[in-house]
Amino acid sequence: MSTLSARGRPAEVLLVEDNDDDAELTRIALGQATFAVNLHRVTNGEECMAFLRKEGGYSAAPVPDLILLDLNMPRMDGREVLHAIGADDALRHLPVVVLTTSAADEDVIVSYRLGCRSYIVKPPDFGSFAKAIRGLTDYWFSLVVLASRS
Amino acid sequence: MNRAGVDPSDGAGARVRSYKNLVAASVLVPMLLFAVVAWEGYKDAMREAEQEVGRVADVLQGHALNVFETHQLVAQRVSDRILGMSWPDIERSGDIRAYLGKIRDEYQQIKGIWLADASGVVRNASEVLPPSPLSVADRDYFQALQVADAGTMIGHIVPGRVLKALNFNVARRRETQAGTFDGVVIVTAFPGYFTDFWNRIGPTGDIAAALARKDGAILARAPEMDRNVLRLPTDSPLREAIRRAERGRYRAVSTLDNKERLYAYRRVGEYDAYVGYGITVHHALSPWRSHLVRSGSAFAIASAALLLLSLGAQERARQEQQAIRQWQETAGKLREEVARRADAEADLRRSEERFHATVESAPSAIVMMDAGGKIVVSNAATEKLFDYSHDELLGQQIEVLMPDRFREEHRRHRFAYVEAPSARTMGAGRALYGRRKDGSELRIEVNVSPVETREGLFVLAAIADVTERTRQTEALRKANDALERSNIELQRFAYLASHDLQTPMRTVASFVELLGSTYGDKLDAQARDWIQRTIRATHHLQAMVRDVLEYSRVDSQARPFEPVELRQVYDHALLLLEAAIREAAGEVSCGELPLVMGDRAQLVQLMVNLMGNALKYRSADPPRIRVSAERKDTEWQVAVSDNGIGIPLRYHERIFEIFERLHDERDRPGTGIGLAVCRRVVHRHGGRIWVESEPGKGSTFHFTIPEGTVNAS
Repeated sequence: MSTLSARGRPAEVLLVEDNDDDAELTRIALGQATFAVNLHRVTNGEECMAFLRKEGGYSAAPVPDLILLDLNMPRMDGREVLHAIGADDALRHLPVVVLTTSAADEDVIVSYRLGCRSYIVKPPDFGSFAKAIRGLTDYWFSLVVLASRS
Repeated sequence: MNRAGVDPSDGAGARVRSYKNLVAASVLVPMLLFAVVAWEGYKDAMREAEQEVGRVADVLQGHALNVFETHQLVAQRVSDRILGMSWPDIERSGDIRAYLGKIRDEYQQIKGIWLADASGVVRNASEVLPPSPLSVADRDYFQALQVADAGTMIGHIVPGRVLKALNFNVARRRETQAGTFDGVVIVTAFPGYFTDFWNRIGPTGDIAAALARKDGAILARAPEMDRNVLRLPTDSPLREAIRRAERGRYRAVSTLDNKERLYAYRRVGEYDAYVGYGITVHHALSPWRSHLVRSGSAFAIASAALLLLSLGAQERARQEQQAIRQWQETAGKLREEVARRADAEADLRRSEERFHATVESAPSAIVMMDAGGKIVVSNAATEKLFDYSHDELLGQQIEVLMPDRFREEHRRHRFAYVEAPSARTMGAGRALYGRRKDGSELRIEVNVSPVETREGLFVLAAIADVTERTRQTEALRKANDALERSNIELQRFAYLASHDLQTPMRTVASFVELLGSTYGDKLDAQARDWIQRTIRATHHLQAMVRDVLEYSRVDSQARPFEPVELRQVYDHALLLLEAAIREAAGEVSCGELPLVMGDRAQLVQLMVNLMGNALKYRSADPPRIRVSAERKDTEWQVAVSDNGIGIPLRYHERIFEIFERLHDERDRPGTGIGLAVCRRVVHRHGGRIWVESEPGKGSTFHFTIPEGTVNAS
């Protein structure tokens, strides 16, 4: 349950999610996944950008190995976050996975166009959700060699 | 006649003069009466026409609001679709072009969709753009949206550069993340969509309706607009009325055809658009005119007869005058006195007869009561309306014609009325009811007017039966309202169901599942069973919400009808059900199937649901399903029959209701949506659906689908 990632340390995951229940379910699912994870959570797009840019109260924030992004949030939503990350040279290399309830075609296409690496529709039950999260982390933390952080 | 000096026949001369007065009165009195009747009728006809114009204006306003809301919804959808895309991306994207084209095809009220950047250059559109850049920088909506987010802007009408017709545009602002102006999304509307609707509901050939902005720019007009007049003049009555209030009525002479019309106008929701509707005064007054001709001829005949009588009397009096010239002055005076009395009585009798004849022949119900409320006169129309005989009504209190619950109140009103009598319409603004002899009720309208006579005050009441009119108006208005609302409500509901309900349900399902998997070993069997039940119920609930969404989509995602080969629909359904058929070792066949007009995707859904049910509710034998069609009059009747478990007769209707289930959830899982969706699809196609079945003998589901062209709903 606590295998270290390909980098030899727990993976840093940033979860951008406004719903506390969904955040808790993601935390549990990540806890049941193969790799050890340090989970950081912010509740909207503005906070997410502050975290990534180490602004405000986030001066000590690590660079995340993976960003899990909800699409529908108040203030700055997931589409805007994708756009902002894509427009920032310092952040563009970060892998973003969209995690949402929306299976609308339009949302999927917009997200991919804006540069997300995967798009996961949250399954209606926890078992399938945990399986999806495990698959996701297995892929990102063992198989994929992440872009080097300079 | 010698007027100089003392004439012994002076009394007879006075009598001749009084006959002259009578001759004048026999013409003037009926004319005056006729004028009064005509004037009252005129006022009624105008009031009726004003209400009618107002009702039609309400319908036009509802329709226009629906259209503009659709435009706004589409502009928002398109804005969301291109959110975050750069203009070069938008310009290159074939997907976007296809997307815009698809939306344009979906909505009849939309002629084109255009995406213009911050400099006004159109970068992509549902239409094929000309090789040279097309700019909307000179358009009023563009200039307004450039300055600020003014919401949904309606542009003035212009000859389109690509679409080559008079159109107008509905536009919304697109912004960068920083909130600066980044172009506009334009949806092209066309006036014909409005005028078609108006011509459908208005009187043929004589409709006057217009859709205009507050600044007078005309957006649509019937009869068809003049390309050179795209704006109402500053002093046009409609513009003046709009400046005063957002809705109202006025009367004006059209500069187009010099006809005087009654107009009503309404603002279209919060949009800068006003819809006005008018009917000619000539048209409004036509029932009044024909009534006038009828009563006019009656008056004329009465008047002519009276005139002849008077002239005859005058002639006789003149002869008499010759004879009595010789008489003594005293005798003449005496004679004069006697004659005058006789004349007065005859006059009175004649006027009374005239009054009765007029009342009796009137087409509407008229009763007259004395100051104490006793009926003294009633006509045939009254007796017919309330189903009484003449004798039964005379002498009764007027309250006999009302339901019990209104009688006491009416008595009080009547006492008050006698104190201050005036002509008025009873029960201003309230529904009035009458009561027939058998106790049944009817909606009425009553106009009362006081009649002062030497014998005291009488009250004349004219009663009109408005039951049918009230019911029809009400039904029409309700149906119309419901129709207009349903589209937008369905879309909102679908959104709610798909997003807002699913999130909390997912939370409940997930945490209960976690409770079971994490603490299951610390709980006893009872607790674990309860957790399992909760999980099952939650999953069922999730499935139901998904199904409601699907059910609502039958209307919200509807496509226009096209010719569809039912055989292809059957093949498609077979493909989708392949696994289920193989698993059940089923045998499926079909006869010759017709070409119908319909929505292909929905017909496939219908076929999958019916054939899927046949597989699901199979008996112990391998399922055998047969699809066939036969023509019945002007429609096709399609049958899907199986050898399944069958359905008891008492459920034959209920199975088509949403969430109505026959079987135990554990036995045959499902939410009970399939047949409800089937029924909705069939109804949308203008057909019927029913089942013939007996337990143990299989089921045959029939549905009809009209042949030929069917209008999409």
